[in-house]
Amino acid sequence: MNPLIVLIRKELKVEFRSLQGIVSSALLSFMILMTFKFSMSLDSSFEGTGVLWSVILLTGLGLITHISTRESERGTFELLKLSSITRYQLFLGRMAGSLLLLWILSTIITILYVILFENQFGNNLPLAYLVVLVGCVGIAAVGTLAASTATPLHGGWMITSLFSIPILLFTVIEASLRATDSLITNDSDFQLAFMLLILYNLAFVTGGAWLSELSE
Amino acid sequence: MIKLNAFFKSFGPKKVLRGLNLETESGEIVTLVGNNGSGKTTLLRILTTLDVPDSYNIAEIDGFDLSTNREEVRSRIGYLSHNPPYYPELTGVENLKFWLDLNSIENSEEKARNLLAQVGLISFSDDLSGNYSRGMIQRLGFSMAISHSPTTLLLDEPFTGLDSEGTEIIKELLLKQKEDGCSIVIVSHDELSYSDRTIKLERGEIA
Repeated sequence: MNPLIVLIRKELKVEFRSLQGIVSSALLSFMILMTFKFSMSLDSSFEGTGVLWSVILLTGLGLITHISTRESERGTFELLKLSSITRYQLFLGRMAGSLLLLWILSTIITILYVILFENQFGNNLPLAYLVVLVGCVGIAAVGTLAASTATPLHGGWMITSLFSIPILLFTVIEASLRATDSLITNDSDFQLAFMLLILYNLAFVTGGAWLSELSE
Repeated sequence: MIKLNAFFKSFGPKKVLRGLNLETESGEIVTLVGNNGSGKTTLLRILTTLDVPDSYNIAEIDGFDLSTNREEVRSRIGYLSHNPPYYPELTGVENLKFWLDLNSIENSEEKARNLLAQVGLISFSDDLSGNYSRGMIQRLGFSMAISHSPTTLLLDEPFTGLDSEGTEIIKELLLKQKEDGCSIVIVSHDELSYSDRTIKLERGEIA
């Protein structure tokens, strides 16, 4: 069996039997969205998807850090390192496992966002959801790489966020934000922003695999 | 077979291994004894490629260099750490099957059940490993260490938490591995009667 599939299946089994990561991240997302909802209730001119991407970035990184910290604290990260698979396979397998869980989380966030802030996307909602799913690839790649390096250290969960947020903010998040905002305003920026998002994702996934191999 | 010559490792200013020389033959059981902090576990971790040595003349397992042929080395070693890692959300058989699948070993489910039977855990194989006792985790860890037929077994205090039955089972399995030509290094606080050689480490050197 392909090691990537083995790692993904393991990650899903571990998460769905404990529900520690998904449930707590979804609850945190709901609370952050509610906070934004109350704080912005007086601003009737509010438009844009900054809130959506802030919640996906923060709770998504929290979920990835949780997965990595759990692996590190149990010593199972060392077990994975002892297997005969290559380091880039290990990175891709761990990233893919995190990505699937991130997709579930971001689906919940998108639904909550549409319910709480109304459907600003109109008929473009499926396209907006596609951008969310694609945007999660970059978050999973950078988050997994940062968490793998940082979680064995003291305060690793904080270092993961401090390292990942600046990198993601001016790349994946900015491109995603432009893409989803253009779906609201119906301007022509969408294709360019979406293309840029795919390029950032490619760079982070291949870069992450390369750096993992280099760490060997 | 392990071959180490002039092997050094430090953690900051603390020199943990000082010019260590060690050779083991296939089918040989070597026990490493020594006080806490003498470098036993560090040596094992470096042999597994989890840590890196500072310098050495020779550091090989089955002729493969520890630094330049890491994947080859990893495929040849079985390692049981002091606290064997496992996924408590998975059953005993799922833990073992995951490890076998990750190492691309065919018929993983059948082989996993067979290994659990050997370590006396077959009746608990479908129980969540999170409910296992310390001794059962140790048996599970040992079955993972020998599952991919390694040529070198590195065991860090393998008898921790085991009852007399468990100790006897692991001992029998160790002797079987020895018969099959496996080179075995055991870190222990006590000397083992069936060990071919006992080496005492003192402050990173062979005493």
